[in-house]
Amino acid sequence: MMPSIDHEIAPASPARRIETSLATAGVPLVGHPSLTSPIAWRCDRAHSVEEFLRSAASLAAQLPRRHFAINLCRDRYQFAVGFAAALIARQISLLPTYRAAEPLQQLARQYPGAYVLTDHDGGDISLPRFSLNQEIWQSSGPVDIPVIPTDQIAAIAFTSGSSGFPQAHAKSWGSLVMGARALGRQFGLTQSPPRIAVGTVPAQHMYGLETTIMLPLQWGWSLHAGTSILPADLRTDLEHLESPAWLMTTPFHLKAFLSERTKLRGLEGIISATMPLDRSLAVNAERLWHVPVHEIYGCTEGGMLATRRTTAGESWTLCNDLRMRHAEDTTWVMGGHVGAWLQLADRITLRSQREFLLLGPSRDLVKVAGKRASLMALNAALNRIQGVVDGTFYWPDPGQPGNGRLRAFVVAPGITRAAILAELRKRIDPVFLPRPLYVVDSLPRNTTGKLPHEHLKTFARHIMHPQQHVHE
Amino acid sequence: MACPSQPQIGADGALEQELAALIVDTLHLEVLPENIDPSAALFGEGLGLDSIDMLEIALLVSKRYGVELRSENKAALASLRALAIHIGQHRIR
Repeated sequence: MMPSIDHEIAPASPARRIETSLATAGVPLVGHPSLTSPIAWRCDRAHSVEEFLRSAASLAAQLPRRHFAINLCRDRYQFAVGFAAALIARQISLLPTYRAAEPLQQLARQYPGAYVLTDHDGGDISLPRFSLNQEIWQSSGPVDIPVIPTDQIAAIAFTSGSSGFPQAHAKSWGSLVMGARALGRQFGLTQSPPRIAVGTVPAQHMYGLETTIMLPLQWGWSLHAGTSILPADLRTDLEHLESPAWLMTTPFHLKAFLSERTKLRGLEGIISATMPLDRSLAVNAERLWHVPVHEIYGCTEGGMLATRRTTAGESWTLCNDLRMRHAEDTTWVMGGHVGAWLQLADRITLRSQREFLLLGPSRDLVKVAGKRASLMALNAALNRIQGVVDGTFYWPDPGQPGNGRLRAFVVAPGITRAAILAELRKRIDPVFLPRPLYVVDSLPRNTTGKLPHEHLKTFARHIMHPQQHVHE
Repeated sequence: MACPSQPQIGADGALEQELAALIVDTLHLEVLPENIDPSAALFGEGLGLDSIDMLEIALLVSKRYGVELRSENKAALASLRALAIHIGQHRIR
């Protein structure tokens, strides 16, 4: 399974090579035209495919002999080396998006023997830890391009399930490769020379994995090692790059870069995901940077499902190897990298077989900083806290003023707000912590004990804007 | 508020307080500005801020003080005090 090649990979175009090989039982780890091609950039230094493969092979030989590696690497290149090494060693990369000690312990209980693969210190993680250390990645002799079986489970991504515990979504190498191929087709990258993927999203997020790891690996692109979160990070990162770059980002980051009018040298395209992008934002971005702004609609379970050029219209175009079905308010998607029918959490209107409108998430779903949670699950976590008599999270309707965070109303006569928050911090991803948390005397439950959304909305208005209410 | 004519080295209590109030207000934090420990970590442990908050703070600091923050400058983002010192040294308004 490991063809040994000295210096030249077969000269066929990377796309064609992937196209033919998926029919077989394995797909090469990388689709670059040559071992000397760059696969990653850090400032103005390139890492070649050869260096990457040697590092991955050498790391694979040193990894603990376990089944599961929790890849927490922050540096995107280190993440990619760790991911590749795990693939070679037939280990599954667990990709939690939440790094607190308790959820990691929980993960280790679910996946016996799991160890943490990391490139940084910090965190009071008591799990076995394997630190990536560049100095030990030395190997000589011929370079192998690993061919990974398409049915090998490459990664497990997580969403917060309605039970309050993370739900696992296994990704085979084949489905990740098919997803990368679909990405290339949707954005017309098949004829494009290799570019550099610069990301503001972590590689552990499914969207980050698809656009900043799998796309570069399979389309012969390079990835940028950093995570360019702040406007000054992105500006200087782009200044150092020697070929054009695509920015994989979110509406939140894009808005910040726009408000700072950040200079983005050598940018060729922008892809945004995690929540719908405001059209006026896309118009301004295209005007300022003179590049197309595309969006991806997807989810952790299915990966990328559809795309749109935001300035061209509001409807989404389904990936061409997927099929969509709508029945009784519920939408399902299947085929290609998605596999069997998958129920979507969003409300959707089909315009045609390939075009649809996104109406927003179902009422139970909240999304903060690209992470999804069920209100029911958050409420359950809140109400499990000792001393909380009654409590509910509140997610303002779109269009209402807010800071994009959740609020909470809690009845808890015996304990302090700080104590409730400290308990919550242990139980839920901190992006969902209420800002603010209001301690109240009671919740506006109806006679059957239910908390209708409209009641809660009026109640919230009372509490959050008491003066405004007096004038109503 | 007058801008300091000389770059300041060391802690500036007034700037720390002003910054604490701005951060609490911008991020809708569940803490009183005066209760933020100026030497405690802003991100992760301590105040428990995340990368979305980091971006908000960077925008705030850029608009208010004309100081560009970079995430690789971990020292400047370590605590409220470190941030105030960094701003004191580099502010243009």
